[in-house]
Amino acid sequence: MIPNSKPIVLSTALAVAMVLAACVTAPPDNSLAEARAAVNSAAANPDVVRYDALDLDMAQKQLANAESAAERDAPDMADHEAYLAIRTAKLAQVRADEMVAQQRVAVVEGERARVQLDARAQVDHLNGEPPARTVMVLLTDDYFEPGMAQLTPAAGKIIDDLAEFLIAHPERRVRIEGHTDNTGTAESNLSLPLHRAESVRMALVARGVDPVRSEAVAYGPDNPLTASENPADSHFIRGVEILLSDSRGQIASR
Amino acid sequence: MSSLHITVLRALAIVSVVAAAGCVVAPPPSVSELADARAAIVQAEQAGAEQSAPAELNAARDRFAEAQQLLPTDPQLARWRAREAESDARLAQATAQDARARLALNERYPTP
Repeated sequence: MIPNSKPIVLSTALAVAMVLAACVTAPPDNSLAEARAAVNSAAANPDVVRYDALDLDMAQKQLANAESAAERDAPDMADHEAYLAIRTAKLAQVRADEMVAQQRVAVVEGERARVQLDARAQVDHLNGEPPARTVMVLLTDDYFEPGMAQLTPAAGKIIDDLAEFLIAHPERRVRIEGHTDNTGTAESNLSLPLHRAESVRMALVARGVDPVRSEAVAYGPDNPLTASENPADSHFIRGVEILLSDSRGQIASR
Repeated sequence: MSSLHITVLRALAIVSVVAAAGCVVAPPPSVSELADARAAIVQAEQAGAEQSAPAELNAARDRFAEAQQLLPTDPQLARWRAREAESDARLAQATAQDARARLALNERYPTP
């Protein structure tokens, strides 16, 4: 026992020293690594980039502060900044997540509003207080000549009012989306809604709306108008949806 | 002692008095960070963080208490702890708001 005791004492001392060293140096290294991971994961989340770039920016600055504090051998400050970076990166993720949920709720609300209000009521509504949010006006299949892009006289009157509104509010933009159902060939399913959307756009332009302010797009059955997340209650609506931007020119995406 | 030496000593004395005064004055009892942290914790509580983000809220409270304790002895560290508490509280608040938005979504789209 005695002849062996020296190496044991030495190795124990070495182990204790290593543990102590780890205690001293590990926290900043760990929190720095954790901060890097948290910031990278937030930056890789497209929802964060889209909805909360501000907090992401802040987290990146805090991480940079932590890195430079560690280089300057200021472990307390490095720890502090790393802690802030981790929290801010998580904050960005959580806020983006909340925005995604809110957007989906807005889509459902919008869908309900579409069912309740027909295009006429929506357009009449514009004469009151100009709405702060994106306004959707749905021209269903009935507003077009059967199987054609041509607008019915009733649709023409709605376009009159829309054009008047757009001319009175030059800060607003308009996106016109053509939608189809899942009957018919794939080709007609895309070309008819596109022609109908274009036809609405040209009708607005003919009434004096600057073409630069409007765009026309078409969606096939893979992107139905209901935009319902739940396939069970997703029903297809043929028609053209007119989206009026808010006063900053922003159009809430579906 | 030459007059140069006396001048140097006098200058040193003035510098050290100013420095000492600076030491006393520079870190003011910085309550602004603590006040910010306290406000953020109250906001998180009002957002319902007690239920939906208890871990983050408790982290904020712990760090805030630590900041209060440190304030008389180590104002710099106290300031850092207060800022950390604020970041915890903001995260707690956002987590609670996120939970509420998810709940609103689930009421419309019950997940199976």
